[in-house]
Formats: sequence, C-alpha cells, structure tokens
Amino acid sequence: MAIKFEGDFTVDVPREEAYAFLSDPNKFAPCLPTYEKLEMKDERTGDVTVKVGVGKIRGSATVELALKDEQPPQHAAYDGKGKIMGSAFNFETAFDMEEAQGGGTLVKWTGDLTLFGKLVALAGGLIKPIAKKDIKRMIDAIQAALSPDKASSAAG
Amino acid sequence: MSWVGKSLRRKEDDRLVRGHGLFTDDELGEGMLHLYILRSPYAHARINSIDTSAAEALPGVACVLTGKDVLEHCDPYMQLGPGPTAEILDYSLARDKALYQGEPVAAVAAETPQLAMDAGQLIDVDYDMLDAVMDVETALENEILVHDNIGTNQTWNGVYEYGDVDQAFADAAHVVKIDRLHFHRYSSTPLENNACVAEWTRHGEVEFLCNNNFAGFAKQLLAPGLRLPIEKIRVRTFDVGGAFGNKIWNYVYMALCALASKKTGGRRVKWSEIRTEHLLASGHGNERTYLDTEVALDGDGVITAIRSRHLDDCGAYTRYEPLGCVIFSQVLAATYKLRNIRIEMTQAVTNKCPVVPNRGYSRMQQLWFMERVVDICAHELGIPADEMRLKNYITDFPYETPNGCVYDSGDYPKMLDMAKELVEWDKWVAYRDEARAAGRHVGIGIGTTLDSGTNNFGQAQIMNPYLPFSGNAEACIIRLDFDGAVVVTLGTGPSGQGHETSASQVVADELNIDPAMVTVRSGFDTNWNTFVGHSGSYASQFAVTGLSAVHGACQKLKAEMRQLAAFMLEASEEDLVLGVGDEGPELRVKGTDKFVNYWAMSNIVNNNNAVLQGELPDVTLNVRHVYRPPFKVPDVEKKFGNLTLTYAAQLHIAVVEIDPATSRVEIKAYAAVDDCGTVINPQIAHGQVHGATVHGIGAAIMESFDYDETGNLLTSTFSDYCPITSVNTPDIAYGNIETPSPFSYNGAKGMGEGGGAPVHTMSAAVQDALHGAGVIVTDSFTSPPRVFDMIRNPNRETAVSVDSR
Repeated sequence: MAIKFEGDFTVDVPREEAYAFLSDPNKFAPCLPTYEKLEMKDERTGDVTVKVGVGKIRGSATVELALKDEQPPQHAAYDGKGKIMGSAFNFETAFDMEEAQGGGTLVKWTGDLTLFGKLVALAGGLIKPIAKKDIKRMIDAIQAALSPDKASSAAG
Repeated sequence: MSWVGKSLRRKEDDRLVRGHGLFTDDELGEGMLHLYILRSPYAHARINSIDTSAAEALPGVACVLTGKDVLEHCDPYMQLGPGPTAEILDYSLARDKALYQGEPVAAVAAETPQLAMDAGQLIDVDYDMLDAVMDVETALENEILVHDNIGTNQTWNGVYEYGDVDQAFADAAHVVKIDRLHFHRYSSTPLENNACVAEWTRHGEVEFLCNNNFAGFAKQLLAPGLRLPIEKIRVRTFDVGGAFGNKIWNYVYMALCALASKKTGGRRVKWSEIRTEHLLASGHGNERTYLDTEVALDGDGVITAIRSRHLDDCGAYTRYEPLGCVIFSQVLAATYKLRNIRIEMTQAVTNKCPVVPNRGYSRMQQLWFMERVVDICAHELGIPADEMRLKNYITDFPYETPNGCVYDSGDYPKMLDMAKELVEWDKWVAYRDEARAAGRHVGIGIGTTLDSGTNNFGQAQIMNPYLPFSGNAEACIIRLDFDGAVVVTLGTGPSGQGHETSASQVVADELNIDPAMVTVRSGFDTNWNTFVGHSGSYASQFAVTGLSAVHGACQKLKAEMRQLAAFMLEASEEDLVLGVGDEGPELRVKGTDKFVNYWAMSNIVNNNNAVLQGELPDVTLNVRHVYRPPFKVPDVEKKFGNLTLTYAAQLHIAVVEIDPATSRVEIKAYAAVDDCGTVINPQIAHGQVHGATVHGIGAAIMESFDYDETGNLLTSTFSDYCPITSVNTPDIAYGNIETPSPFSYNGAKGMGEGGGAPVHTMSAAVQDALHGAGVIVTDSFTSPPRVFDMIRNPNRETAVSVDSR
C-alpha cells in the first residue's frame, strides 16, 4: 500500500535556519509523531524509536532514518524503513525551501509512505487518515520548533 | 432392497455434531511444543540477515528455525515441471529471498502457542525490499525474476491444437473476437485450517498427524525433502474439516514441524494455522487470463472453432503446478461439440501466494472461459442463451473429445429443461422484460459445467514426459473381526464427504446386511495397507475409485466366506445365501436351517483353526482389493488421451437484479441441477451440490484475493475476503437426473468439486442484466464495486467485435 502526501507551510525563520533544522536528523527526528528516542549511527543515519498503532494494534517501531540528500540551503531529503508486528514500512520525505513573500521560509514537502504486511491487511482502510493526521502532527512540530506562532496553520 | 440410493443419515455426524470429532488441533500431549511461523511482510525482498538471539533467549522457547536450518537438513522439494521449472528451489523456509507476502521466513517452537508467537516477534529479519512482479503478463517480460537461478518466470508453455482450426475460421459465417477475459483468484475456506503434529521418533522415523488430503503425494515430497527413506514417513489423519484440494500442499508446514521435532530431540510439535495465515499463504486457486480469443460460428450459431491464448499466474512456487496447464484440457471444449480448437497455454511465476489445487482445479477456469464464449457469442449474435446452448451441446455419449477424453454419459438438454422448470423460467423472463422496460437491470444466466473425476495421472506426462506417473488406484481392506464384525478400511482419506456412510451402504448391499453392521474405520493412515500412491480425497473420485475398491474387496470377502461356509456346513457354495438371521449376519443354506454366522466363521479362521485340518489355507477373511481404472498413457506429443474416467455435469440458472444504488447483485431465483450418474446417497449428493453452489456464488460475488501493486494482499481477513454465509445464500431449487456412467461398476460419477457452475452462471446473469447497457462481463468476479465500474465504464465497444460474412 503506497500513500503519497504533499503540502507546504511557512516558518518565520530565514531559509538557512530552516535548512539547518530540517537537514539535521537530531533536530528533525524529534518532530516525528510519538517520538521516543534517537540513536545516531553516524552524522547522517540513526535509529528512531516511535510508538505506532492503529486501533488496538499498538507497539513500538524502530525507524532507520537516513539523510539521503542535502542541497544547502534549499533541499533536504530523508528515507527510512521500519518494522512493527509482522509489518514493514518504507518512507521517503523531502523538503524544498524557498524564501517566502513577506519574509520567512516557504517549505514545500512531499512524503511517500509504503506499507507492507499485517497492518495493511488488518487496518488498510484506516491507515491513510491516520498517516495524514500523523504527518500534520509532524509538520506542526516542525513549525512549533521554528515558528511557534504558525504551529497550527500548516497546509497539507 | 438396496441401501445404495437411500438417504442414509451420515454415520460421521453422530460424533461430529456432538463435538466428539477428533481434529488435528484437538491433539494434546504432555511435552508437546507449539510452532509459530514468522512470515515475510514483503512480496519480494532480499533477506540480508536473521537475528534469532532474542527469541532463543526467551524462557520456554525450545528452538528457532531459519533458512539455514532448512538448507542444513533438507533438500528442495521435487518439482513437477520440465526444463528450467525443474530447477526451482522450493524449501519450507525462505533462504536468501522472500518471494511472496506471507512466505515463511523463520519458525519458533515453544512450550505454548502464545510464547511461540511472542518469540516470533523478537526475531529480527533484515530485508531489502525488491520490486515485485504482480501479474502474469509483466512476469513473462522477465524484467523482474522471481527465481533468479532459472533465468525466466515462464514455467510452462504448450499448444493444444486439434482439428483444422484455420479452415474452420475460413469457412465461418461469423467470427467473434474477445479481447481479454480474466478468471479471478480465490480459494476455499475450510472450517478447519491446515494443522499438523509431527514427531521425529528415536527410531529416525517421522510420524505426522495432520489434515493433508493426498498423503501419497506428500510422502513422495517429504521423504526426499527431509532426506529420509519413504518408509520412514508415516502420515495419519482423522477427522478433517474440509480440504477442497487446498490441503494437498501443506507438506511444506508438515516438514517444518518435523524439523522442529528433530531439533528438539524428538518432542512432538504442533502447528495450527490461523485464518489470516490460511488466506495469505496457504494456497490460492488458479488465476487465468485469456487473450485474443476468436470464435468461429456457422450461420446457425453453432461454434465451429476457437483459438485463444491462456496465461496462468501460478504465484511464487510451482507446488503441484504446472499440472494445471494440462488438467484444464480434461474439459477443453466443455459441454460443446466443436472439434477445432487451438489454445496456447503459458504459465508464469509471480510474487503472489502459490497456486494449489482448489475445488474445480483448473477445469473450472476452462469451463468458465467456454461459458463466457458461449454467452458473449449468443448476446452478440442475438441468440437466446438457452437456444445457443442447445445448438452446441454434445448429445451423443460416450463422446470422444478432440483431445481424446471420453465423456461417459450425460443429457445436458434434459438438465436445461429441468433447471428452467425449477427456476420458473417463463415467469422470470417476463419479469426481466418488464424490469428492463422500466430501466432496471435484471438478468438470467445459465451455467453448464463438468466435474471430471478420477484422474489419469498419465496426463502429467503431457506436462513433463519424464514424470513416472500414470493411471490411478485406490485400495480397500475388508475383514471379519474376531467377533464377526465387518470392518472396512479405506485408503481414501476423507475430509468430510461422508465416505464412512457411502462405503457402508455399498458393503451392506453386497453382504445383504444392514449398514449399521458395517464399521468403516475413521481417518487414514499410510501404515495401513490400504495406502497406495494415489490414495486421498481429491479430483472427485471417491464414488468411482473408493467405492470400486470397496466393491472389489466385497467380492473377495464373499468368495472366501462362501468357501469357508461351504466347508463348515458341508454344502455347495451355490446353495449359500447371505443375509441376517437371529444370530446376526450369516450364510445360510438356501431353504434350510443350516447356517453359520460371521462370528463363527471368524472364530474358525482366527482362533480355532485346527478344525480346518489344513484346508482352505488361503482363506483369511481379511481381504484387500486395489481398483485400477482402465487408463492408458496419453500420447504426449499429440496431447491426446483419456484424462479422466467420469464426467459429472451441473447446470445452474440464476436470476439476478442489480441494485441501482449499491450495484449489489441480488439473486432473485436460483436452480441447480446435478447429474452424477447413479447416486449412492442422495442426501450426501444434495449436500455436495449445495456446498459447491454456495461456494461458487460466494466466489462470484464476494470472494477475491486482491493484491496492491507492492504485493500486499488486501483481503487476508474475513472482513475483506468475505466467504458466503447462510445470510447471503439464496434459496436453491435442486434437482438431479441420473445418466449412469458405463465406466464405473455402479454407474456413479465423482461429483464433490462441483465444477464451478455458479461462477459461470453469475457471470452470465450479470452480463444478461447489463448487456443492454453496453457491458460485457470479462472478469469472473462481479462484486458490487466491480459491477459499479462496469456500469460506469461500458466496455462492449472494446471488449468484443463481430465479423459477419
């Protein structure tokens, strides 16, 4: 099951600052919904532990997160994969940053999530709205970190 | 008086309805371990590593198995296919790659099922996902290989050509071209899932209690797979809650239990499948695509020739395949008399669950194709569906088909008449026409089908000339026990079809006693001397092979009893009559009070044999008969020969109305007429017809294995894969005719599978309902979403064309 998302949001900080945040796994990873911890393997890769679940199917998942592409100061992209309870998922997410009219930074983002296994079979119809909600939480968290006043106005 | 032909209540039901049945999962024992199977979430993935340390450290875990263990202790399972297909490496656990979602990757044996499952979650498998190939046409491009070592995804290709196809097309008055048809992937959902208990004994033997329904095949695969001599494998079954062909291939799981037992020093290991596992990974029915179909017809609507390309998607492994590429030809021209046929059959592997035999195995797909052809031609040429069939039905029997199969008996026009009467045809035609005038979608569909039974295994040589299989056989032992009881041992491995009852009826008739006086042993055991290579319940054969073996054994027992009774009574064998007297079953000198009962005869032979004074040394009152059908090895080059012994027929009619709001196909009326030759037990036959009908209706409108593009099975629970229940089952008007088979001693024909008539019938009815809206039914699955799409996107312009000359 493949799910694609995209959207944009603005933050008050300059593009360089937004880029510095989004291209640093140590800063970006805590914005993932239900983040618990991050263990970096090197500067670009780490294992993020998150809590995940749909309905009564709940547990912890370890996400292998890797900064895949960086083009300072306008582009940062991650990919990752993880497992939970007989299921697996892969994702790719990218942020493209440009200076916003009136100041700050416009961040355009894309996300491709692919799910495999029992989770799809048992909760396939529920996953898309849940994933959408989780992505909004992630964007809110990024905005809250970079631009607290705009935290609730993310478009996606 | 004859017991055959009576609706004797099933002997098995007494224990089954009281909850006294003994199924594999009922087996308990101290020290028994429970197996959990960890499965791949991916349809296609490279396995980089498997870390089992956390699972092994969990208290109560006895052992963990991975592909390494399998490689160390096992050889790959024998492949039936020729050429590169023979090189497919199939083990019970994935080794370096997982090839379908749900493929076993590791297994844990632990003290409890829950502990085993918990431990399974601790196994860390590192995968690299690979692109999956999820349809047969893409697979045949060979850009993504399922089995890297064979260099191709194609597992079989062959052309079945008979008559003068090109001339028939040159002479045709009409040529109907059908772009593409598709038979969807579904399966059976037996009440009891796969299950097995295995023990690797201290003597180096493996004993299985399981619900496999073709032990001869299982033994031949398991023994080399486990690197054991074949006599070291013992397979037992007891009550089995339905098999429908699916359980033929559960040897893969049996081997895992055996390995776990071996690794734990011979502890008994049980595995019991859960429903999601069954739907995900325990074998699907054949999925077939039909391309470039062309049909030649004369000016009267008689079909004179067909040519087509069939593509079979067999999933990730060729388990029992590519046999389906030959099995379909048992019914190549279905119930129709055309003589000119050219079908190219090609099969390929994909990253889906492997295909295994399923009720109507491979023949149903061909019969559906032929029924679609007939209905599409009828609609396009403006010929009513019933008339179209009457123009084309085979009417003279025995009938040799273009490929040498011999249809034993039948009367399809009579079945059609009966079905029309049962369904109240005229009433529904009037209803349909009125409804159409009012803009509603009402259709009437006919499905004629065949249940070819008693395989000639020689057809396997058409698929692979080097296979050492041909013919068929079944065995039966009858003995008089010490107390004179008549005890029958079958080799048929029943899975719920009432073999104990039907066999009792045959024995009762032969011995002129009551069926209650006959004990048919429950279950099956390869250590019994009734085990022959073809033993099992599959391919609609019990009524012929099983009962012929019983009948033959009865003749031998009667001959011995006559010899012995004549000796004891000092009478002539010709003067003896079998029957039941005041002291039980007996042989009596006709018209006298001289008799000997079964107990006395058995006692003489078994306990008091000195009185025989050395006479009658061959009389044991314990006789074995093996029935072998009169088959020859087919002509492999010409793909010609008699592939099955009997051809039961089913003719169904459905009246449907499509809900304009939900696109649901509502069944307004349904009739099912069966012809299985001489009926042994009408109640059982009726039950079989009912079960097959309900299963087929469910398959047509409710049950489908749907994968997404990445290989996720989206219908792996009963929430999404919806087996039909009594709530959805229409009233079924049932009728039967009997055209006795000249090829079986009793006139019976095997009939358990049912030939998939409802699938054909529902497709026909939906097309009849929607043809006016420009719809050709090109897929066998007509669920509400599919029907909604059909109505929204009429396909007649692209799906079919007619060239009339």
